[in-house]
Amino acid sequence: SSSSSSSSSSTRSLFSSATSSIFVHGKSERKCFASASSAMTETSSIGDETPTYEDSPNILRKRFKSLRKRADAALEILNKTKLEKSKESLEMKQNDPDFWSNQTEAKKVTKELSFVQSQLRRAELVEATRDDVELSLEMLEEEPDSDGGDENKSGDEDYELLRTEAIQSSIKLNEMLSEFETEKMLGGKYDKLGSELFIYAGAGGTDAQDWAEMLERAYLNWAQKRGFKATITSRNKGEEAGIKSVTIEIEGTYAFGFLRSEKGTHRLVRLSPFKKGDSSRQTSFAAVDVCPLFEDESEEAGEMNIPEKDLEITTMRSGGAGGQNVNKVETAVRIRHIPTDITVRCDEDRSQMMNKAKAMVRLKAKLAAVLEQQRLQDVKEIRGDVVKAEFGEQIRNYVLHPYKVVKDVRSGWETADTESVLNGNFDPFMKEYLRFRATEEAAAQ
Amino acid sequence: DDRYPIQYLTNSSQFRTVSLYIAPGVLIPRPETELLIDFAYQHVKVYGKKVHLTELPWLDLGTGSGAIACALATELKDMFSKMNPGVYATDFSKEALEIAKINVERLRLNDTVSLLHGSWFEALCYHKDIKFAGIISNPPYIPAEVAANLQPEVGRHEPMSALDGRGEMGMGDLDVICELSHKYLAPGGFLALETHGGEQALRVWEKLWNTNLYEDVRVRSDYAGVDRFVTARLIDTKKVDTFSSNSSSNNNSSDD
Repeated sequence: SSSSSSSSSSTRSLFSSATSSIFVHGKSERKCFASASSAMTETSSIGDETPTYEDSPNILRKRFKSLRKRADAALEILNKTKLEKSKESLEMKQNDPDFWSNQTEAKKVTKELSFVQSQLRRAELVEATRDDVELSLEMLEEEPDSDGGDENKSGDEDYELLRTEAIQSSIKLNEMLSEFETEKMLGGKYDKLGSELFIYAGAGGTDAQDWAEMLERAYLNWAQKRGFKATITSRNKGEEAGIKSVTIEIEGTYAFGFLRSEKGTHRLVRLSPFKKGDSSRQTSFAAVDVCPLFEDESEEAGEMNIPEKDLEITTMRSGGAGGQNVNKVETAVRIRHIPTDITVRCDEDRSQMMNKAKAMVRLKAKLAAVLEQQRLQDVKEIRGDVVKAEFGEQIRNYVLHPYKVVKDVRSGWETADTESVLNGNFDPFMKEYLRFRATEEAAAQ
Repeated sequence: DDRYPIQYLTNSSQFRTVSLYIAPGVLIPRPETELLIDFAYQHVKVYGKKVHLTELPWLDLGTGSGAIACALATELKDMFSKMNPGVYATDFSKEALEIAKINVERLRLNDTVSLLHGSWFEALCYHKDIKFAGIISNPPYIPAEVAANLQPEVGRHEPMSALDGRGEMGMGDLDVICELSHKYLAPGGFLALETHGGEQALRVWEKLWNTNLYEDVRVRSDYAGVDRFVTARLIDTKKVDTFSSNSSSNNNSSDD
């Protein structure tokens, strides 16, 4: 995988140092995982591994060589000078007395400014942490090595302090850079947006519904750990246990970019807790769908023009009189996009009109996600059969009995720590899928 | 189990983007009625930009809680600029107007919505020469035999005067509105009515066509597939005259 990345990035030299280190980094992470031991003695790939507290200054220095390369690449991509220029011009716009007269424009500028500011802080942090590690390592060089003896107790302590500092800064720098590099792979049109997450229980009654609820819990935990705001907007409980379906809004930058990897069918194999005395394994399916979170009047939603004739709009209690005859409390609206058979539903708002408006935004978001996935420009080009096929694709197997493994069918990534995955630890799967997809895209070019 | 409507219990109902105060004495707004504002909006986008129309007010006949008037005033407020007198809302029930007044005040629409008391166009008796850019109404339209057998929440608790259309097939009130609207619409003005659907909608459609005063008379359906609404435009005779000088069917709307 590392060779394919460097050959494809010839036109994107800025990226090459970042991406090649990701691929090598990934390989060694995999090794770490399988062996469950943290002591690595191979010096060849040492520069790319996660710093540990056992590292000697020599090893730290080797690690820093690669860390610094990555930091410099990241800083080049972040481009502090450009960010500072953007910040200035956006702030100038904000200081204009007429700024708030155009609310949509004002919101846009404020959002952009907050993004620029956070990227700037990031660049400054990367720079500062890189310099910290460099400084600590320099100072370590000047300290006499620890002899093991008690001749120079205070010297030993200073030395240890410096070494720990260097390690801490290295770990911090490594984390920041890994995070940044992963995000860089999120270059899709809507990756930066928040996300809507839909979970549907497959056939099989209570077992499948319980599985859907397990996934719901896992994703909520994931969102919380990553600092995303998750709101359940609609939830359909199963009769005996679990849920039939749930819709969750996950707000935060890049939520959609990360959650994209989760779209598809998730398969669970275990002993059913609902069938007493039956010791056979149960297989349950749950489908996860993801689409970007468009704000109601966002640019993205406005751009898409869907002809009315392509839409089938129905209300929940269709059939029967309606109108003045009936006091209808349910105002849910369902919209089906006829050419692709994509259907959305909204029952969260208190008026039918608002539910329809929100359903339209949701439909556009789903269509946008499909457009991006299939690399098309116009909604007219989407083929409904392809949409259906993709949605039904099995992407991950979770086996709890008789052995424990969670394996992603696409990237091949697997782990035996099923408990942590079901507690929301999807990050390794997401990152591996992003890498997998990046490799595929590079190969396709 | 009295089947008391929840909206009367909570004193609230949502109509489009507007939250309304609701109490016994007015019809609880129906979700279908929300579409009338969509039709108005579509009309304005295409036909409503003529100067004389943007400066003329709109009319909500039989406003009840003020739902249609308040939604129009809120959502199409760009139309109601300094030049426009806003929305007139009428009702024959003083009790209803009290509730409408509460909503107009809550929603700070005092400068945009004017409430008038009277039965249909009689409420405009102090505005003899007034012309509207659009008239919208959800009048009582339930036929007598259906009115006797309504869902308990409706039949037992909502005001029958807001439901029973009287007359043949429940069209009593719709007939009045169809017959007189042309006198109060500006040329090119918009008319949108909600009906019981089916046969009744077709009758309204026919009636409007037969006046020879309206063009683009259309029956439109709600999301449940019921053909519930009729919309039309008052013919702008100035336009038609240039087309054919021989047309005998064009009555200028100012002929009284």
